[in-house]
Order: sequence, then C-alpha cells, then structure tokens
Amino acid sequence: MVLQEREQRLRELMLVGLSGDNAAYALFLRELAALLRSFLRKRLSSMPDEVEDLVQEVLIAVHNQRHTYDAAQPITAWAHAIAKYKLIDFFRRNSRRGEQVELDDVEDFLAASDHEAQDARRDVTTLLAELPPKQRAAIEWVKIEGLSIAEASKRTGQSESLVKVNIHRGLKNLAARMREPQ
Amino acid sequence: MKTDQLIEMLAKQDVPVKKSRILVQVLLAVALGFVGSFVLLLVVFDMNPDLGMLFKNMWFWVRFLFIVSVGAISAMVLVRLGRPTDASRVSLWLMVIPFALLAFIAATMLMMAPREERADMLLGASWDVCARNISLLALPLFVSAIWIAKQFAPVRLRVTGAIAGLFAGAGAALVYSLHCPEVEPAFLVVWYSLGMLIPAVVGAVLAGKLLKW
Repeated sequence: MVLQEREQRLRELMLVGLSGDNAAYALFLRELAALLRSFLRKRLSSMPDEVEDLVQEVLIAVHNQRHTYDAAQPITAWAHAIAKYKLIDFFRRNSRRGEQVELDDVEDFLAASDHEAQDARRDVTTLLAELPPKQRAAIEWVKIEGLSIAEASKRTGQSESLVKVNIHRGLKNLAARMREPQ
Repeated sequence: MKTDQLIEMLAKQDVPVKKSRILVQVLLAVALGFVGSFVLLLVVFDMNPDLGMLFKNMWFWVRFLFIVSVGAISAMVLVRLGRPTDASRVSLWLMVIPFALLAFIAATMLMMAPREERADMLLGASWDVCARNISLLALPLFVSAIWIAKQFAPVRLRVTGAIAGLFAGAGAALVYSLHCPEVEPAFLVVWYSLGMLIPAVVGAVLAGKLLKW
C-alpha cells in the first residue's frame, strides 16, 4: 500500500537522520514539508498566503521537538499531531475560534503532497537577526555556515555544549517569535 | 528565507539528540524542586519531632503509599502527554485510583467509628491549614514540573498543566508529611487531596500561557 510505504520511508529517513545522517534528515524534512503544504493548503483555503509561513513554523517545531519522537510510534501520527497543534494555535492567534479543525485521520495527512513552495511572508532570516547575539552567532556558524560544533566552539569561545545549548535555545526562540503577530 | 533554505539550515550539523541528556535534565529538575520544597518546609514549618514514632504507625505508610502513587501515576501520565503522538492515548482515569481507594478506606472507617468521633477523624487538628501548606510547598516543584513539560511537546495544554500541577502537589504532600502528624484516611482524602488539587487547578488555568510552544 502506498500510504504505508510513505510512512515507512519517512520513518526510516527520520531515524537515520537522527542517528547523524544529515542528508537523510534534510530529505525527511523536504518530504514532510510537501505533506504539510498540501495538508495546510486544504485547511487554509481562505488565507493561501499564510500556508508557507505555517509550513515553516511546523518544520521548525518538528525539528525543535524531534526528541519527542518515539521510534515505536508512526512518524506520520507524530508529525500530524504537531501540525494540528500548530494549525489550531494559528487559528486561535488569528482569533478565528469558530474555525473547525477537522478531526481527520492520519491517512489523510499522508495522502497528498505538494512540492510547490510559495514565498513565505515572514522572513526567517530577519527573525534570526533579532535573536540574542550568542544564540544568533551559534546558529550562524553551525547551522548556516556549516562549521562543526568543535570549530564553532573555538571561534566563539563558548564551550561545545554551550554552542549546542545556544543553537537549541535560539531555534526555540525563533519558534516563539514566529507566533508573534507581524 | 525560502523553505528549502530553512530545511537546509535545520539539517546542518548537530541533528542527533542525546536522550540520556534529556533524562538527566528532567531528574535534575525534579531533584531541585524537592530540595526547594524541603528547604521551604524547614524554614516555614520544621520537621515533626515525633516522626520516628510515626514510622511505626501503619497509617503513616498508607499515607506514604497514597502520596507516592499519586505522584508516580501523574509522572507516568505526564510522560505520555509530552509526546504529541501519545497524548491521545493517555489513560487519565488511572489518576483516580489512589483517590478512590483511599476514599473507600476512609468511608469504611468513618462508618465503623462512633458518631462523636467522626468530626475529629475528618478535621484532625490542622484541617484549616493543611491544603494551604501543601500548596505553598508545591511552588518549587510546580516550577520544576512546568519546566519539564516545556522541554517536551504537549498538545493538550490544559490537561498537561493540570497533571504537572498534580505532580507538584503530590511531591509537596510527601515533603509536608515530614511535618504533618495527621495520618487519618478521612483527613487525608479530603485535605491532602485538596492540597494537591490546588496546584493542579493552577496548572490547568496557567497552562495556555506557560506551556504553549
């Protein structure tokens, strides 16, 4: 069955990714982004401009919460739960309490994917620039320039674990800023 | 930033997470919460000087078991609530077990006791301060429990806040039992339960603000 294959493939990419294969992890995020885009586009049909922003928000949430994935659980159920949480949160933020989020099942989430990304309205680069300097520096060196943690530690004078903590805090901070009204 | 660039950024370097490290953080937070609560006990209430004698009282251990089971079940439930997938499969009814058991014991004992003793069994010597004291001792543990919940991804915020508060309440009750001489089940099931429920209600009320991610 196609859906099962998709689930299996996503799960494998995620697990291999989490064990240190960055290319697999990137592929996982890319396929997830396509699923999210289709999922959100259907549910935000009245506000299509918001879709890509929300796709990005969910991707960052998925990344920040990757330690809460339990390998014994289906990956799509996990990602779907995060996407639904973020969608409900989005509706609440935009004071559209009346909006019903359908209690669809996970299969629906897997059914369609959409690789056509529109431009996001909110620029993550700008948000990154507003982070506290240490967090910004850690993210810039490691997550953008691609330095290893050890190299970044040398360059910033922060210990290796501090670099990691600053990246983690910075990305959580970024997620919080994405929730703020523009 | 385009979504593809964002993905590239997220997937660059440092993707694996050490679960052991998270476990250490969680345990450390719990330990700190208990230390805070215990220090508060020493400063505000002091230890029960007759604690050694209470150890020989069976009801002291019933109280201990009641509190520990509330704490253990809420911790278990909290772990599930922290995972987006498991959150829908949480067995909240488990939470009721220790309360129901103790209520049964208390009701039986009240019925068997002479009428004129029942009020004393229910009110003890400290009914008017018990719940307040437990709630006060719950403060440091409440901070710990919320902090821990924030390290995960709860999707049912209100329930998560309530269970985090209940966990803090149970921890506080455990600490408070080093001071409090009351071991009568009827007393415990009313006033200890109330003391644990207050932080739970606070947790549920504040959850939307404290736990959103």
